[in-house]
Amino acid sequence: MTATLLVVVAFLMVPVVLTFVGSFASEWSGVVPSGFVTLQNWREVLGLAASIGSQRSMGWDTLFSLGGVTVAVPSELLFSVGLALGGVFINLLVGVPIAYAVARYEFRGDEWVNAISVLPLVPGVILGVAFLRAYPNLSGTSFGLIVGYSLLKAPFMVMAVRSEFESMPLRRLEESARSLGASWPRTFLTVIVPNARSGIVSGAIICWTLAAAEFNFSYIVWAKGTQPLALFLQRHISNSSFTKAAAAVSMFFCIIVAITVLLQQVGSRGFDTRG
Amino acid sequence: MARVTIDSIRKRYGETTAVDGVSLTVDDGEIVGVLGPSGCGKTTTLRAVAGFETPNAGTVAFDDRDVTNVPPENRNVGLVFQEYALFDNMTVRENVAFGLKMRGVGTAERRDRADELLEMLGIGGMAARDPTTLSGGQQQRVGLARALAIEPSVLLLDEPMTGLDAKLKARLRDEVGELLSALDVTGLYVTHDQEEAMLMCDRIAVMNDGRLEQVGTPREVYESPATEFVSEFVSLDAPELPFVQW
Repeated sequence: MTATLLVVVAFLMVPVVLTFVGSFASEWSGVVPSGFVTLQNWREVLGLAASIGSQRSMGWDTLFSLGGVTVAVPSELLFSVGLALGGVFINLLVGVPIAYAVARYEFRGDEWVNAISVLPLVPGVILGVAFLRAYPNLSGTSFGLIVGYSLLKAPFMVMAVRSEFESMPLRRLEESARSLGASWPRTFLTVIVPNARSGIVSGAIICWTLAAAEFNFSYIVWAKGTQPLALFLQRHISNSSFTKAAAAVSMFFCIIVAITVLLQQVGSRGFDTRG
Repeated sequence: MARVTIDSIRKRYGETTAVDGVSLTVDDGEIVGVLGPSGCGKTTTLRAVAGFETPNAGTVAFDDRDVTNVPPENRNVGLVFQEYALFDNMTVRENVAFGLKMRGVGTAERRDRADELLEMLGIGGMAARDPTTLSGGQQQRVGLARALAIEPSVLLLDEPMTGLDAKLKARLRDEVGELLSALDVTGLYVTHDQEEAMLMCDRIAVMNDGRLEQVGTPREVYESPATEFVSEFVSLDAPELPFVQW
């Protein structure tokens, strides 16, 4: 049992670890990379090395200068991280109330609301084309991408939060708080939402990760300017050596881990109403 | 605490009538058990008193104040559920103090009153704990403390002991029974367990199919059931009721 588990975990982890290790190699022609240790791949991916051809700069901007030391941030990269976070933000505002309504109330057409909230599980290509047709003005804009991400990933938020709501005595919690003197909005914000925090946090993490990696929709809707993460990744994989692709993938992986940790932290602290 | 007067309330959901003209008075300081099989309308009656259901006809009054259309947050009722329904995002103490916080009571006073109640219920040492780490019996005590903290006009208990094991149930029944009579609580105690109702309540209202079958002291209901239903339901599986203590 334990052995099986170890084998499975190892099987899943080896490619990730190998890629990460490979990103510091200068050559990777066989199974195992060689020529350690170089930071050249990471420099090129991060746009710190002199760029050639498709390797555009990542828009390093000076954050602050202090006594000769200049700290710069890859503003374009942050911007594209923000695109996916924007989608998550919309999903929180829209998805949590929908999940609550479907889990808590029986109303005419509740299964229709449920079905419609899961409908955008269509592939990004389809939504992307339909989106461009319906809102030509939004094509290529950041706002268009954010709205598209939120539409595409909303079902994951609704499903994660709804199952959390359904696993707790939602109606009893609400009635307890109401009888103790809390108005409905106050009950919702100080009791219902904080009690569902684990579902909300996991929903946000799933939405962000999937939005950041959404290639199809980004490919169709994006036109110019700051590149979404998925396109950035694709550019580095298709036009580069193995080792540089490994660096790009590893960087993506690091960003995902960082955002996941960040959302977890915000989730556990942000809902803390003690004090 | 207050006297609760339920006057011929009727509640219909589409075609089905859940409560059909129920009238019941709970005197100040009295615990009345509402006993009946599931689906008899006892929970709907309780929810109408709490304010979560507006009856299609009839009124609910606390003392002389008609509360039929008053929203639940302005009724000052305490609720205790079978599912405990504790707020997991707060400590035990914060759960108990929640109602006081909603009423604008200051932090220090909230804390003192919450601790006092927890002490009284025998879980004084648990104030700083996360409610999910407590046992079922302890959680139910927290639920009771939370409902009592607001000094409610009426305490509504919806199957509070269902789901606890028999031994714990017996102990909690004694303790809670004593506490409720010591505090002079006006209470409506909904249960399907005739033994529990007989031991904890001053009077029992037996319900069936949305109607009241009989209201009386446990002894009256047991010894001279008014209808065949009452006689069957009350004596069903309680042949060795401990009547010695009366």
